[in-house]
Amino acid sequence: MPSLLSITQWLEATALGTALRESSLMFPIVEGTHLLALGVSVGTIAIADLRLLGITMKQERVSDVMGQLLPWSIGGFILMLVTGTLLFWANATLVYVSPWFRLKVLFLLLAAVNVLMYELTIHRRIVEWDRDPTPPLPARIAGFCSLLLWALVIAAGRMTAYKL
Amino acid sequence: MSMQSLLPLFEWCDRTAIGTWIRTGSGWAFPIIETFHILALTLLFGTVLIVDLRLLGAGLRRQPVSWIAAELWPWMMGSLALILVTGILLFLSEALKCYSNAGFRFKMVCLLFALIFHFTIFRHVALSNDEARRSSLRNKVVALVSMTLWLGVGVGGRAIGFV
Repeated sequence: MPSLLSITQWLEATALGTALRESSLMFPIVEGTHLLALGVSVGTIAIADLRLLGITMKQERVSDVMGQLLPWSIGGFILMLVTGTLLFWANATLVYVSPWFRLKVLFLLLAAVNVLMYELTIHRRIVEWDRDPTPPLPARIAGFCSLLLWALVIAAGRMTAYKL
Repeated sequence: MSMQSLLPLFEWCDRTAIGTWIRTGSGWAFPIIETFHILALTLLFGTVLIVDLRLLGAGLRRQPVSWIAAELWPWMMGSLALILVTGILLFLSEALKCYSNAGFRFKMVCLLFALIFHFTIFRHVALSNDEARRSSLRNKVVALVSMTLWLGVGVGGRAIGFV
């Protein structure tokens, strides 16, 4: 079985990897789109988290606020994933060995675990607290963890680019 | 006013104690300040986008524009304040580099127009009590101008590091 390192070396040597790395226009455009998608996705996630924390839009049902924002969070996330994959592709080996990138992946996984735990527990009883201005503690904890983890993802992402 | 007359100001900014410290004092100051800059702009971009989308008739359609804008306004102001403070610090640390940087100039022009638009027309239209669920042509134009101007600020900002 080939090691992950040899896969990253192969990745960045592909025509696409080389083109992304060496084009003076493609890399800024892909990175710009990555940041733009970040604003759309994490910006809307943050407002949904703040509703879960009982801080903003308190008069509206939680499911209403989150449901209407969700398509934008997901759309932005998919665009982030696509552009993020391309950015990784361009410098796969350097990024793979970067401790900041590993931290970023860890925070992303923890953010996913956080969503999963929320969906499997307190969200199942949302009809009981949907209209509460301040949702129950487990929901507030999920909202807080989401805000914190996304902030850490962004910070680790910025450091990955700096220390490359 | 020609750009030439601004050079001494940029030179002075570049020499300030805080700018010098961020530039040379520690390798960590700049990335940490920039991380807060990005966190705050994510929130500003997200909140402005939600109002713009609502003006276009998409997202949070069951609530009136004015209500959404009023709920999100404090978050826009808070994130904008953090963006300006961290942005000024970043600028002080590389003022001379910014002086001759086309990306920076583009960003500042867009920022000026974005701020004027945001606090006049955008604020008036978004916060005025518009109960209609259909999006009027006026609302659509305001949303598109708002998105374009803030997009210009973001693209210009990203370009500073590339041009």
